[in-house]
Amino acid sequence: MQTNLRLELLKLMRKSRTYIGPVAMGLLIAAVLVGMKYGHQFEYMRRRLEHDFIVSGSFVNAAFLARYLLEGIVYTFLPLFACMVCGDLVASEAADGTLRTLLCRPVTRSAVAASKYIMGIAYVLVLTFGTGLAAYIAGSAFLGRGSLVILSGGIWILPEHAALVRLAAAYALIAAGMAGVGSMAFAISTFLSNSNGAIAGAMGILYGSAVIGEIEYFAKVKPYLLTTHLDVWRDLFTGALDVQLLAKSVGVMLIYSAAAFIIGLIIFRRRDVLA
Amino acid sequence: MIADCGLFNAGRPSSLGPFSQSWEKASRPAPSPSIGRGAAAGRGEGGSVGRAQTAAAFALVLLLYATSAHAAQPTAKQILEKAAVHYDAIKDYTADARLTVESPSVHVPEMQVKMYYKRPDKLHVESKDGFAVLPRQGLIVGNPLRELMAGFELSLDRSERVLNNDCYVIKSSFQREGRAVQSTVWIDKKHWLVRQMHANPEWGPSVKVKLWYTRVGLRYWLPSTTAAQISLPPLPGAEAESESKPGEPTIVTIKFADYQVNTGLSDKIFEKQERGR
Repeated sequence: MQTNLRLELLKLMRKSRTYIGPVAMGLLIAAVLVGMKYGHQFEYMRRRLEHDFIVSGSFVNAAFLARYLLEGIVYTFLPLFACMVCGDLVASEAADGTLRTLLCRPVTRSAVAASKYIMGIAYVLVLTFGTGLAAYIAGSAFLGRGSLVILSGGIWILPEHAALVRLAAAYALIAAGMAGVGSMAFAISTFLSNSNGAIAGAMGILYGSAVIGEIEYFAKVKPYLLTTHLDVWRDLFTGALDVQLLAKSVGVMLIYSAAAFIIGLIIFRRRDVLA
Repeated sequence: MIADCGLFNAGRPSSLGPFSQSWEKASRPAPSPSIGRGAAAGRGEGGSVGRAQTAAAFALVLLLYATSAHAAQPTAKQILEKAAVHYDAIKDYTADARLTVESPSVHVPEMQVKMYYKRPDKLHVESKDGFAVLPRQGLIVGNPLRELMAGFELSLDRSERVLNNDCYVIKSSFQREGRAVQSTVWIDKKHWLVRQMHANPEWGPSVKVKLWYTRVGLRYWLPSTTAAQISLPPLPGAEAESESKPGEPTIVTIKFADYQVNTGLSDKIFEKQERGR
């Protein structure tokens, strides 16, 4: 298994698409950072605060950047880059014609699928947590550190240590969600020979789920949708940290991941690679 | 009751002099021809004159008693002026402040700030945690009586015991940013310090503040703690999402320490109050 994992890691490292995500996220962080440092995007927040409060210091800091970034990436860049890699794991082997050669080795199909999946999920986790960490480090260097200010249902000011805990919890929740989306891309890629289909399929399920969640008729289904639990990250910054809610949402998303992996594994094991 | 009271003195000159004079006129036996006529008219009327004189004398005694009692009682303006002396003695100060906010819509941890104040209303706040918000309505710096003294209606309403201090209760109306504000202030009879304030504007948040004092350098009285109860207007995002009960007040408690008074703070400190970043 270790050999398989090392092999998959090497393959992942040698593919250019692996680096698209981190580079894009790095550029995005830089752009947001410049906007926060030199722009007036959040002046409205300050003005609103100054209406009723005497404001000391700046709320635009590392924690604010790391939290603000999530608003823009949870439904766009993160799932896209997760799908780009996870959806390519099996489909690219089929497209390149290396799948048959790969399975000629004395390893079980399950071990091959599992090592690919583990590498895919590891990539998703590194990408998600790496984005948060990079944002916080860059924010600390250029904006400074401090309390996290949220304007949602009133004013919430979280001291830095509490903000870090909430940010870690939010990124963990989102990483679990991205693992779910990546798992779906992996499952789709097991029966396709083109990764584009897997990417489109998984993103389609994600956006479809978000749309269904907004339709009143499907209210009974909403608690089971991936997007419902992905949205829980916002609640982590207001009120007491609800560990039960966090655990439940992470649990649901892990079930999505496990179910997608099992489906992908079954398809992969039954896949006719000789045709 | 004090004479320069708008409520009690409507339609009359507001000073004590004319007020007592009008009472004197009213109670003085009238030097009218009726007395002469009465004496000529017979004994029957002479009895009523005697009763009138007794009543007049009684009224005079009452009046003297009342005016002497009033003379011991200062006017609302005098009370405010005497209390203002404490606050006017303070040209500037710095202090460490610990601020706690209990509110349905403002959720902030205990904040530690350094406050710089310079007369008349310059205030600079530095947060020790990088960022802090201080509710404007809950902050009493400088002379809290300035607005009241400029008020167009001022009256001594009653005496009341507040925070274990016998206090004069003064009511005032004034304009703040185009809004009429009804205000009540409780002034300690012994130390002439504001112990409690209540401002109720035409619209916007109403505020009740209680103040506890400390003596700094044996000369200046400054608040050691202020506790403000504020009814805040809806905050951003609160309209749609807040779970707070309407009317639930915000309580802002500020504890002050390490006062440095009249050190001659530079204006530059107040110019550098951060605006944005």
